[in-house]
Amino acid sequence: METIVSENRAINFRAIDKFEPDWLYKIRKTNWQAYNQLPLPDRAQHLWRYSKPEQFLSANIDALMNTLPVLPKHINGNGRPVSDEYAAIGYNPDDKTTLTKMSEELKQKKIIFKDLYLATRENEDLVSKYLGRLINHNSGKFEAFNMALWNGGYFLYLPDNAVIEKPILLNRHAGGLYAISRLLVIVGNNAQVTLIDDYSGPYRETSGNSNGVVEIFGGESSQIRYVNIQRQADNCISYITQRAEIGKGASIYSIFGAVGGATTKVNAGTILNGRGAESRMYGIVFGNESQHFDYHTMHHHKESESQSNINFKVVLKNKATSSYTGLIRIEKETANCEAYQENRNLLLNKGTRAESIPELEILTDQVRCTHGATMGPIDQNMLFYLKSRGVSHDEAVKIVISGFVEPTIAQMPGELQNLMRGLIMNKLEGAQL
Amino acid sequence: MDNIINKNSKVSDIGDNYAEKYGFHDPEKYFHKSPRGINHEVVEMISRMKKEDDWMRDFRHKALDTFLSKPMPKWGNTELLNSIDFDNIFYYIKPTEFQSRNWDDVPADIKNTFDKLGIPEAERKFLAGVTAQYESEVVYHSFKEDLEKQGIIFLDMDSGLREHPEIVKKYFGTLIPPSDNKFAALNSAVWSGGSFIYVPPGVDVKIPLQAYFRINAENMGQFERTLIIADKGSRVHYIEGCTAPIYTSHSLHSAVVELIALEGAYIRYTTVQNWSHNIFNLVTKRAMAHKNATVEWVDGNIGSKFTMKFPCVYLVGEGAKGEILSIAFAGNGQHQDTGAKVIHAAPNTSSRITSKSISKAGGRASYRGLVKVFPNAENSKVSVECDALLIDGASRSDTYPTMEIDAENVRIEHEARVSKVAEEQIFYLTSRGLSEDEARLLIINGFIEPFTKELPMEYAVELNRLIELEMEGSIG
Amino acid sequence: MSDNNIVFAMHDIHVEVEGKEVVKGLSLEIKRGEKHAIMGPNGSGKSSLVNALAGHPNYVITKGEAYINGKNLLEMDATARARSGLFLAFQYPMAIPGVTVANFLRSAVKAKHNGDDSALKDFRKELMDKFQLLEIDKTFATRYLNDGFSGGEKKRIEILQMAMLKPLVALLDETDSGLDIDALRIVSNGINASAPSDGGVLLVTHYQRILNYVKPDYVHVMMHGRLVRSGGSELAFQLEEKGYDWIENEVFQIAEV
Repeated sequence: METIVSENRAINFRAIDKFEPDWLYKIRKTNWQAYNQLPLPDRAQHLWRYSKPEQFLSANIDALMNTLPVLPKHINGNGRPVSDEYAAIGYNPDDKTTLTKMSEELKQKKIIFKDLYLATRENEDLVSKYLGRLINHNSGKFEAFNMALWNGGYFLYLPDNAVIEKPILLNRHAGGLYAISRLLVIVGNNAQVTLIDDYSGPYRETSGNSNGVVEIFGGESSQIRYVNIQRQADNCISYITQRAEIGKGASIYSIFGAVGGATTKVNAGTILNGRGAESRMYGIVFGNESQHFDYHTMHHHKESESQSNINFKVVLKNKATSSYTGLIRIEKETANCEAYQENRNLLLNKGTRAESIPELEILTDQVRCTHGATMGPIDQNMLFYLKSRGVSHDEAVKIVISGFVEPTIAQMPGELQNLMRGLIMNKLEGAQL
Repeated sequence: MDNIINKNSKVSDIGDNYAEKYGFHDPEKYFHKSPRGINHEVVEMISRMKKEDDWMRDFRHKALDTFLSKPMPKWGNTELLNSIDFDNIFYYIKPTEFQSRNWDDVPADIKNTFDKLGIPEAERKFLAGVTAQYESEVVYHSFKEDLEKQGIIFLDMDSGLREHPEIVKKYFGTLIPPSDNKFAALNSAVWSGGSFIYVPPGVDVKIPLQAYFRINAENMGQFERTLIIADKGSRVHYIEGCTAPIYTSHSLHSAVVELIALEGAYIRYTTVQNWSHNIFNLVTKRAMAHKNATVEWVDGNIGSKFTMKFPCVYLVGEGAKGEILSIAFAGNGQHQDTGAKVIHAAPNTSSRITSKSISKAGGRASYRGLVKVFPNAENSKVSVECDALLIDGASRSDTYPTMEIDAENVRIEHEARVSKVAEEQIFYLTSRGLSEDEARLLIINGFIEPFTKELPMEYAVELNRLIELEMEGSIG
Repeated sequence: MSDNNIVFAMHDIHVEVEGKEVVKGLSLEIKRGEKHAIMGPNGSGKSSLVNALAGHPNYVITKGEAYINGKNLLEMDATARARSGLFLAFQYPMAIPGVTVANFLRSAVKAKHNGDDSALKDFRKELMDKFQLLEIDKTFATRYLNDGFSGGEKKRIEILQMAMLKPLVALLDETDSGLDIDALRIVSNGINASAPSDGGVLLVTHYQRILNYVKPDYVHVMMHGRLVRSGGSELAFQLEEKGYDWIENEVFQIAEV
């Protein structure tokens, strides 16, 4: 047990339980120390200009120690059954319980899908090798916080050539004190998977804070689709960091759909670490009332002939605010990389605010790279065109907005598309447009 | 464009390079040279030598305190910034006792320098007035009499302060207070030279005014200060150029430029920066455009080791316009960290930013921009375009634009492209009989054409020539 | 507006664009079943006129009256004008990315029937019929409206919309521009097949060639914001032969006298 004086309080940092593997305790302790030593991010600092860092701090860290992961009582227990729609589901009804369930078929394919804490013991070789490799205390204060105190999470492993046709659904419920979760995904060579990472809740009266970390490793020629949905209640504050590293010939589509939460800060990135790797990112943010969204995306081209494409769209209404920062970095010694980035912002009324910071760092000339950003109200000519066909003004606005978000929604897996359309249309209802 | 082809057809003849053309230096025969380093004594000495009023002396001392207390910027190329040794710099060098209005009165060495740089010739040909600054002071100043009679004031900044204290006091340091940034504070403490221009209401200065800045001594710090006020409905175009000798150790150039365009006025400020590769060029430039006024920055950065310069326009009056057109050329060992800033603070304002950069031989060109639209700036329009050309794999291009929009019915469009010279283009041109070098040059000239076409002809020719020199030998 | 035979009428219409008057007093009546063509050189105000009639907010009608089927057009916004039977085939149709042609038309047909879903009963079949009529590939139904369409494809889609929405009065703004010979024939067939038999057509064009396919009953020449000459279809041939200068000179001389 270790005591650190933090914010004028002595806090005891302890092991999860007496069975915690030593390597895990060491990593957590290093991160705990880093968390306490690292200053709050400076607001002048690049990615922190638009969100107050204080809001992601936990008021009651002592209590958090009590929500450190405990072994789930019923691994395949009371969770909802795996429906036809999904190959597997993960579900955390509260901060202390994580349930997972997968089909027989997946088990036969030697796919591992389970509670992350359980995996630290049962799949120690794999987990100890990958956990924290992409996101750790070097990534920042709140990333260190996550590693030190994560109290829930999932582990997914696909051996080479394993293909999961149907998506895997992960329910992440903000609720209770502070949901601190990690997702570790290892996808073997030629393996294929679709993941839906669904942040929702809370189900309780309390406001929910969540800190999520997602690490994805894609082997050669693997194909991954990662969908991140933010549809938490309007009193939730979330901080999410996602990194994927993919190898030669691999591809990943990352799709971010955000309609919920009070403040959501997401830092998502793909490291293209193999020749011919491909990453696409799509984003839709739809904010209303006084919601704030602060999204960063990063595409880091480390190998030749890698391709990336970002299409990030923002719609804001009432007093909602958004900032989008997108970095493309192309390393020296690469050849024929292509990178594109587009950020479009629709501001539906006065009082909304949007920032757009598309960044390029290009260290080679063998490259094709463009980015574009637009901000503005709905094009009056579009509205006129629709109205000249007899559509009412409000209806025309809805048509233009749904058209604006539709190409992104079309990238989502089946059922999710209707969910997203519904969530967005709900926000449009009753709008004074 | 023709010019390039003709020149290039005898590439071997162009033996000259920066060293011969601009990189020479004169022996130091100065009227006064301050000791190295910066402190209140140096500031006091500068102010006393200039016989300044108390308010300016106090302003300088306060600015020095600000400079000393302000940390180095934590963004940008911090490695280069932190390498500046402020104690090793000469902050004030007065080359001659008096300023001349006739080139014959300028000491032979210095006159010779400006002759080599072609300043007297340009003056005869197409300028309305010229200021030539050598180290800390303006050594030559002339201005056409008929313009003077129209009430136009064109002076070096020190004379401006002496002769028109009421105007200077009203505007000096209002757009860029010493607290703005560390280098603006340093300039405010030790400034010397620069231009002061006032154009009365309705007056159109049809031919450009020019200032030429030359650093000669090693480890020199040049801190000129320019203030231009265009009164209601007036128009003026100001051009500045700069060069320095090549030394192994660094010199610092840190200017502050403030432009005020009152209602309906028009100011264009053109820079062709060609400092030698040992100069740190850290400049703050800002303009305020009132109702229906227009400010245009045309900013070319070819030289220096490290430039940080982000010309800015505050659009504070309805219908004001701002335009920033820049090119940066980053060669071996150079980092051009340039960009643009536009603040929309009134309705129906519009701005356009066009940035072009070329990086070669390990050079690094960064575009850093900010466009901010305040809530009251309704119906404003913004367009930003950044194009970067990379000549080889060792070079680097960065783009860091920021757009913040807070108002209704505002349109912002931003586009950036990074590319290399397309092989297809080269093939097309070589198939028409051009050499590969010629083809590349032609393409690069086409790339910067939107910039060069905005320059007076003589400068466009000069700029193309500079780029040709920079490109020479770099192409395999 | 007692004459029930007149489906569309405008009197002394003046239009301003960004404070500048571009249509300077124009009157025209269209009887049921009639096709009228307005011809004129570039910049004569033709497009401004039809955009203003359709209710584009940037084209302001500062003076005059216009009626469709006896109803005051100028009291309505763009939506209401469309619902009362006015249709504008745009010269430059807007792209609406993300909205498929089929979904858009479904919304428009439903809107025309005041939101009644039953109007969509035969929608699919009818849409396919019209695709066939205009020789448009069926895959266009699921493509985003005008997004990445060629000039000719956009024009076909405009006429497809007309065929689906069955307007009372169709304003066709340079529907022939940018079409090759085959496309011109197909689009013209589409216009003829779907032009309202008890309504009217006002065709705005620069060239005579579309009039070989879509035969007008009347041809009007527009210059400098006014109609300066009206006649039968023979006028179009005269124009084609002698150019607009011919009329310009004549009108100018008359003014001199």
